[in-house]
Amino acid sequence: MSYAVLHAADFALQAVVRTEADLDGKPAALLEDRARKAVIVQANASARAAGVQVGLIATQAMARCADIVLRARSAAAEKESEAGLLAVAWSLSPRVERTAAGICTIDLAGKAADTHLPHSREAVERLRLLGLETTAGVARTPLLALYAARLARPALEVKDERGFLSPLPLSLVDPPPDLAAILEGWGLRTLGALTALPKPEIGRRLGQAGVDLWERAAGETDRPIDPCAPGESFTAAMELEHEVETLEPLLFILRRFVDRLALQLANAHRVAAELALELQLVDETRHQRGFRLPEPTGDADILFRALHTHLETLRTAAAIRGVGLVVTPARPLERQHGLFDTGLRDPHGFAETLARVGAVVGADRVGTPWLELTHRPDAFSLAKPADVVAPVPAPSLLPPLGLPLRRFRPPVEARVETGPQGPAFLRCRLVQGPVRQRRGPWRRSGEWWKSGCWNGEEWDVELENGGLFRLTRRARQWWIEGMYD
Amino acid sequence: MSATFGSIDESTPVAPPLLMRGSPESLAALRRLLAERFPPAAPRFAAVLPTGATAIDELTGGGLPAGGITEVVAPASSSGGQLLMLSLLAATRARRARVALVDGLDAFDPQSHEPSSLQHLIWVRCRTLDEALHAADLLVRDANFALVVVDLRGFTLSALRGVPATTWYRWQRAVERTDLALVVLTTMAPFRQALRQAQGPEQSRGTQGPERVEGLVGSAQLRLYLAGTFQLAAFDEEQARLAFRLPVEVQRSRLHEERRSA
Repeated sequence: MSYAVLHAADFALQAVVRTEADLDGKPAALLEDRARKAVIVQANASARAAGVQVGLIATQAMARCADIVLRARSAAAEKESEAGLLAVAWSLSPRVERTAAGICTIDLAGKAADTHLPHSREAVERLRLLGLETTAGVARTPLLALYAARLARPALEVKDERGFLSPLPLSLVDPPPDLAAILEGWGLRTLGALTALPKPEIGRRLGQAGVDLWERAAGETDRPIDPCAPGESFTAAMELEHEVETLEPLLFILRRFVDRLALQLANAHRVAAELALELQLVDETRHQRGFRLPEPTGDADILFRALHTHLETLRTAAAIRGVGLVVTPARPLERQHGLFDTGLRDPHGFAETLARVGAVVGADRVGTPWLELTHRPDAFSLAKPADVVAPVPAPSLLPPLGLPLRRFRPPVEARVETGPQGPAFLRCRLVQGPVRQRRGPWRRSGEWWKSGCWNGEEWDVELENGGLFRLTRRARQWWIEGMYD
Repeated sequence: MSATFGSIDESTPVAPPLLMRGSPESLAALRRLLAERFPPAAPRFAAVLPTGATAIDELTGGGLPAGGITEVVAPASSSGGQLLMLSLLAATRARRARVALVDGLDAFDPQSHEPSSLQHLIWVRCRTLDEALHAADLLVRDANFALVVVDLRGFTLSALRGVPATTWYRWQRAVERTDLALVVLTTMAPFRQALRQAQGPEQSRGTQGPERVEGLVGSAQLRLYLAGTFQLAAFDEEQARLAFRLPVEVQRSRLHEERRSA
């Protein structure tokens, strides 16, 4: 049997720091209201190097380190970090125990022994990418693995247990304070010194607590782990300590969410089919947006880009105080492309490009044109592009005649002098000149039963100085609908 | 103190300078040399996109360059720019290839087309030149399109000349390693004509017909010039026949040079 332990030191502090982009590398400490004044309960390495210790009050810490960042505990941030820690642990083995805050124990049974340490290192690296600095220990028992994790830089496998334990200080095995004082009086400072004494003699003098301590010091304590099951929901949510008004902090948090959820999806052999983003605003309103992905995927970059593209152009009425993300899982798409299919080469890139273009010109101004079933001029709608371009249908028996129209939207108001044959001279802000030839009128009307009925007469004219135009007369006013080109 | 980095034997034959007074032979030799030494710097247009307009396909040796920019200058009203677009849409529809149309002034008329011929089209309805340039910048980088048409006709000459030359070269860089054909339509016709007419008949006398217009897209490998205008009798002809005899001239073609050097 072998176990691995992933250990995130100062877990509560790391959980808060990893949600803020600009705290990386800065001295930071966590405050907690334990007594009358808030005291520091955890400090990172930079803060400790500057002299900040656990137990100081905020003003004392700031006196020792002027640029220290002080934060309060965040239950949501700790929950999110723990989810990330467990997701990485489940990528190593299905049997994972949530041992304590920032500590999880993994049963490595079934894995080849020579992969234990490399895989533990990979897990530490994955957690680093998720913003958690962790260490990993691998050993025969969960307790030994925990000791190894506490001492690892960043991963350590215990093979020679006695050699590993002997030089370690007694404090590592957490002796009760009264026993610690007795052992200190005996001059015992290392685990090796304690285990050099006979176990029955320790039991006779210190009782069961002494025997337990001796067994822990000798690495003899073993216990079964209590595995927890991965959840079926793929959600992430967080209340923000500070209101967010710009894009970058929000994207930073969402990236953390997406990375963790992508890992969870991979563990469950699922991919994301839809995303649902919810932003809670300080004015008690919510912004909600769903994203149906063009093709289900588990790629964190693609999932993040879908959110990024939307948020780039989003303007909310108030600052953001909370963010939530829900992923709808689906089975990975297994599709055999047909030999003559002309589907999209890069469906995600296509959706993203259209979303970006939509952000520039307006989402309602991009799409595939569809003609409406009416004779009303300029009647069309824009639809979502088809996933696959269908084969060309049989050509029409009557081939199309003439030139296509280039429309003026809106139509250009014109002044037209008419003669016995129709329009004789045209004048507008774009063109003017005598009419050389004309065809018409074609009278059109429709939808007279509706409020938006249309009617008028159309002429096609050719000007002396070149150019073919479509003229329309409605209610005694002339318009140029467009140019035949 | 002097240093000698090498010696030149006067008897060693020295290659003649390549750029001797900018003669065409020297330029061709320089291009060949650059193409040999820096292969990535010399784009190859092995693939072409047939336009469906026979006049153009014959002139260009098969169609528009894939991986390059084609500028189509339509200097006059009703010179056939929209007809060329219709031919391109039909040709790409037959191949089931995707097309994006960046419609600078929202002038495309879907009702002039068969409904089934538009299924492969992404129509971007812009309102300003900035919108059109921005949208085109995004679309030319998408791997899903075989053709992107950027219709900048109708914008004023000053606005089009105000587009930084780097824009055209950026687009060229974006498409040159792909099989995307990028077509940019430019013209100043309506405004030039309106201006001429506003000057009165005396001043405008002698300016009948389209004026010669220079292209705007500096990085275009191919520049086509729509040299004529259609008349009312065109309404009696089939679109395919009109496209067949589309009056077009080649103003610039780097295509053939590149193919020769390849």
